Amino acid sequence: VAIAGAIDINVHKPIEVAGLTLHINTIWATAAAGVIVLVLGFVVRARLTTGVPGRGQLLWETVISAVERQVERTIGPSGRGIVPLAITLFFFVVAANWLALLPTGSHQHLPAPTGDINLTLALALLVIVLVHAASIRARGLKGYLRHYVRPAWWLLPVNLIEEVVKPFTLALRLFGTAFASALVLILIGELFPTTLAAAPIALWKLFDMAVGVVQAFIFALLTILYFEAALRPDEEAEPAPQLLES
Amino acid sequence: VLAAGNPLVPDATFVVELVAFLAVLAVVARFILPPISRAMRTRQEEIETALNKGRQAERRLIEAEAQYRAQLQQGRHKARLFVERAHRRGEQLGREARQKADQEYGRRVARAEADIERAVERARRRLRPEEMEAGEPTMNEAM
Repeated sequence: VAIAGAIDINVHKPIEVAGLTLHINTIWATAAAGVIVLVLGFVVRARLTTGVPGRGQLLWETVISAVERQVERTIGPSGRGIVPLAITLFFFVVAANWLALLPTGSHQHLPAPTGDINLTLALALLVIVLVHAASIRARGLKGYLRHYVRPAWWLLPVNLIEEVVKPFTLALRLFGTAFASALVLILIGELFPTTLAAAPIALWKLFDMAVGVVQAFIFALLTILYFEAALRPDEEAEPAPQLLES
Repeated sequence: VLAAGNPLVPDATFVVELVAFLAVLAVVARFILPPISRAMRTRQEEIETALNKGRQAERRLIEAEAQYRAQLQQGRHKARLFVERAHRRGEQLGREARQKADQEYGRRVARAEADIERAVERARRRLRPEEMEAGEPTMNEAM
């Protein structure tokens, strides 16, 4: 209880600009994550080779072909348009999550922006809006609306809830892990004397590194699967459950 | 109503984040992914053509080897035939030559025998009248 009182979970340093609340920390961190992704991309682009690829190019190529394969397998050729979105989401979320690795001790000056609901909700809503748009484009407005009363009309509320909940689960899953990770860092900082905190913090950040990749992977995969459900012909209605469980 | 500072409540930062991600997405989708994908595809095609070329070269090599063997075989066969034919021709020529020589020999022997016989006959004829009349003077006459 004593510790709980010492923890300030509001790590985003809100400022007021023209009556709007802005988390300046989150914005800087988001910019940093974006710049990291773009610099990585442009460096690879500048050294692009059709021969033996360097490490950076190999990384991009691995992710590109993995996403392309996943999209091809679940959606087919019609899903090719979402490949850039899924790839960018993956790299961006990894970069954002890994900002937590910066050796700023327990008090992060550049926190993982995924620990701010503003970023994760923005990503999730963007994805879901695009999913609905894709669904309408693939089935027509009528087919899209009919989808809500499938397989039976009385399932309408269930279908509605499912669709409304999707962006929030997507956003909260990513937010939750990054936010909790930041909290654990603060907790470690409070529990250990400063001289001893380095080891557990390093250990935790190592673990967090893996979590960051897994979360980015899940976010990109779910994006693809939501598109798959939206573009799937009407016959079958259930999304692949074994993949959604992860 | 929702407390400011509640980490689950979004605020204006949301818009900034959305715009920031859209900007990253646009740059990645337009300037980064296409060239990398193109490089990947080009490499795949290059590897494929190289493999195909290799396979083709292998096939051609096998074909060439088979052709070489066949031609060698054919050459050997032809050579054997030539040698055989030459052999036969030689034998034939030898036989013919021997035959001709034999014939010539026979002819000459026959002619010689005939000459001898004629000479003998002439001699006999010349001798006979002297036997009937008297020997020596006839000899002189004949001289």
